[in-house]
Amino acid sequence: MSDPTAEFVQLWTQHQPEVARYLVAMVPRPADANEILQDVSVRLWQKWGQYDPERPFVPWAIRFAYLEVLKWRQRQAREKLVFSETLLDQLHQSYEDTAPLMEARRKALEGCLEKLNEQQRKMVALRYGTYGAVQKAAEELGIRAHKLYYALEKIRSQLLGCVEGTLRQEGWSDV
Amino acid sequence: MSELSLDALLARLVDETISREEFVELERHLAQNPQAQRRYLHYLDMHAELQVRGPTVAERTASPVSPRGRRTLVGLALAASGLLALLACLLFWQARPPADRVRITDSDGPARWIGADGRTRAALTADVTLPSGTLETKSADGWLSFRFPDETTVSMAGRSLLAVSSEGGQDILRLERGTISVKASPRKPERALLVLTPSAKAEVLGTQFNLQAGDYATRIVVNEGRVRVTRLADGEVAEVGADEVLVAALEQGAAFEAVPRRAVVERWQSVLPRDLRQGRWEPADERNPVGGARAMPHLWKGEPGQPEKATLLYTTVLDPSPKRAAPFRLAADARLRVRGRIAKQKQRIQFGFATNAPHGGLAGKYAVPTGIDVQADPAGRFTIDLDLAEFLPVTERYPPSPIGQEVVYLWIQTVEVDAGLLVEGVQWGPKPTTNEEKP
Repeated sequence: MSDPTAEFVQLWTQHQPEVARYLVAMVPRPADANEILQDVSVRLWQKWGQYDPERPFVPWAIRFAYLEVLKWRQRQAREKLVFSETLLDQLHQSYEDTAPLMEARRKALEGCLEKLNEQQRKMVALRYGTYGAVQKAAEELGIRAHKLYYALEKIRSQLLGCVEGTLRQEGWSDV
Repeated sequence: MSELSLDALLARLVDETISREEFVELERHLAQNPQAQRRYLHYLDMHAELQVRGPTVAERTASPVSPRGRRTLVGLALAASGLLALLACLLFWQARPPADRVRITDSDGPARWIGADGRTRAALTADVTLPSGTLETKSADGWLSFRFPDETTVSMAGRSLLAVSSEGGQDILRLERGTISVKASPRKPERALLVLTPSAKAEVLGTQFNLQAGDYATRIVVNEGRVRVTRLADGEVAEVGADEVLVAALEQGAAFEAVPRRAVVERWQSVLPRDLRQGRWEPADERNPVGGARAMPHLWKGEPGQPEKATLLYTTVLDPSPKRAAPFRLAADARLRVRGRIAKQKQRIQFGFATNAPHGGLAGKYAVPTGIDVQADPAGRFTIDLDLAEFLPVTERYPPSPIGQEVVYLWIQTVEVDAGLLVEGVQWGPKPTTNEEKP
């Protein structure tokens, strides 16, 4: 492809969600991750001339995403709960190790959601279908918020255990 | 800290109820603890995935939300619109498969996938999707087919090792050894499918071809379309058109030009060691006046998640269509004759072969069910004749009869027993008439 703009748009459109997932892992608050994602997008376009098309795009993009995370951390360190630079570096390394199996995990999660009972599914739906409105979800369910938080904690642990069991059954090593 | 405690902190983190003290505690437990870091990453990725799947889970919920609640939810959803862009990205990603993923369409025999980080997966059944990695078929009768998102299909046969990746939107196959058959969907030149072997590079825009690769040479047969091949030894380039064959060898002075495929033959006699693909060549000596191809052991063992125990095979594999030889086609009256030696008087031996469709890709695998009890003379020699009708497809997916198909390779092996199998010669030919003398 000869048009660099078109090439960048195509690759970024294709791989942006993967970079977004990386940011969610490094910066747990989605609003923060979204803010950094916009900075990453600008940075990648500025550096586009240095991109080697013979190399894979995602690792190249994630390298810049990591740098933007560090910059964001410096800006926010005094105001928000942010991990230390050392830990961010370790998480960045661990992310590269775990990334190949993430897609299999997501697929397994779908089956695990089916295994939840009706009440648990309702809780997940209210929690995630309304973008984190736990207080309101608790009202809907007629329970106190802290009980819903606790129930969601148990459900997430149950789902993680189910995903790992599924992957082992499917023959994945080191799940 | 137990995992449950870590999970409790993670729950507070994603629910944004974590206190500063708890956050410090979480950071302390994550630091220098790869296991906890993995748990953290898995937890956060699941949290992101649940945000994507929230509406779907809601649809599955039996109890409807009250109208009042629904209005509240809508209001909250609008208030959270700042998050929607990110979630839309995730949804978009869910909706389209990444370019570096393949879907298994068919498998038979032991195989495994090895990820870039060394993780393995052995349960490669139909519809399993895989990221970039290396696929390995581990036995002579192994078979694995997969499909790219653009419907390009690839079949591996025999003992083959194939790395699959996608770089910059270009799909890349690296065939370290073995046999593949490719039917590539039409592609733009900048997105050409790239096939790399130890001795050649092939660029494919939309075609059907079969390719065999070893350490020193690559043989490519094009059935439809055109493939551009670069010989890595000197960078020379050649175009291979339909019904042409090209060999790219590392040997100096080797010819490098596409030649018309030779007319098929219906008789074939092995020339050893030229036709030996797997096994060890043992030349004639004082003890063995005739040289032969020694069946060599190889192990395929049960992988994590697979209950099969390790199995030891002693296998010889021969190639009836090496390099530029004419393809060998099976006629209705074809008969296989195998001459060899075993260290025992009687031994069960397995015989089988893989085929290509005429002017096409891999078609099937056929074997004598459960093998044959072979009787040797006092000197350990045996000759066995097997009519084509004795070979049956190893699964129902393959055509019931191989008549008219071309033999890609054939295997002769013992299972779990080292019988000292040495194959001295193999031939395919028409069944002798009743007047013809038996050997």
